[in-house]
Amino acid sequence: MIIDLDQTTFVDSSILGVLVGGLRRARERDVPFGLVLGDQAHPAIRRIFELTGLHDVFPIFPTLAQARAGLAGRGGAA
Amino acid sequence: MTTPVADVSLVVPAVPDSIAVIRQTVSGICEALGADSRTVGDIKLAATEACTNAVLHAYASGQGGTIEIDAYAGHDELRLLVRDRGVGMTPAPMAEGLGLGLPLIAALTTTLTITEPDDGGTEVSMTFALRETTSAS
Repeated sequence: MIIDLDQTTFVDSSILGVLVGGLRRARERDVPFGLVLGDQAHPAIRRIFELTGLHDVFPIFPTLAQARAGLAGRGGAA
Repeated sequence: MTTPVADVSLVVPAVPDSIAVIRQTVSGICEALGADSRTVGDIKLAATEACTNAVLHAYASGQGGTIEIDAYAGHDELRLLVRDRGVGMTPAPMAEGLGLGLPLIAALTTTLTITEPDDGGTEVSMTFALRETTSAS
């Protein structure tokens, strides 16, 4: 599963909770899970991941193509 | 002691739809004060987190209630008070979510104070620097 956040303008802790829940469930099912957060993403989105430390928790890719390539063949441990 | 008069006061129902109104109001205040976009984003996020806490936790389901937001503008800082009249701070071990709301607010503010006023509810006082300090670090 890939969540593309490049066009997202707002994320708060509730949304982070949903994303962490998705990551957890994906890992339980051995499904690859990653986020797209590229250079064009809203700075506030990148900032909330940095503030919460979650940028080290999620596999984050700069483009959708790189996410697809990076997650191909991977299980939920990504 | 005289209570200072807020520059902007807003009272909204403690429902999810109010969060967008609060965000728009806070955004307008910040822009009027000349804050840069990153600072505006930080303040909107902190206000969102504080008000979301009030919506989710202050009032029993179906009880209804309000959120009061007071903004005090200074030359280089903005203070926001977010007040509800609900049950006050209570442990919520079964609550959903990551518990990131208050840590996020703490990371975004220069000062953060959470109190339970004598007449009930919870009051979150947040102060934000409106401009980056220019001193070398």
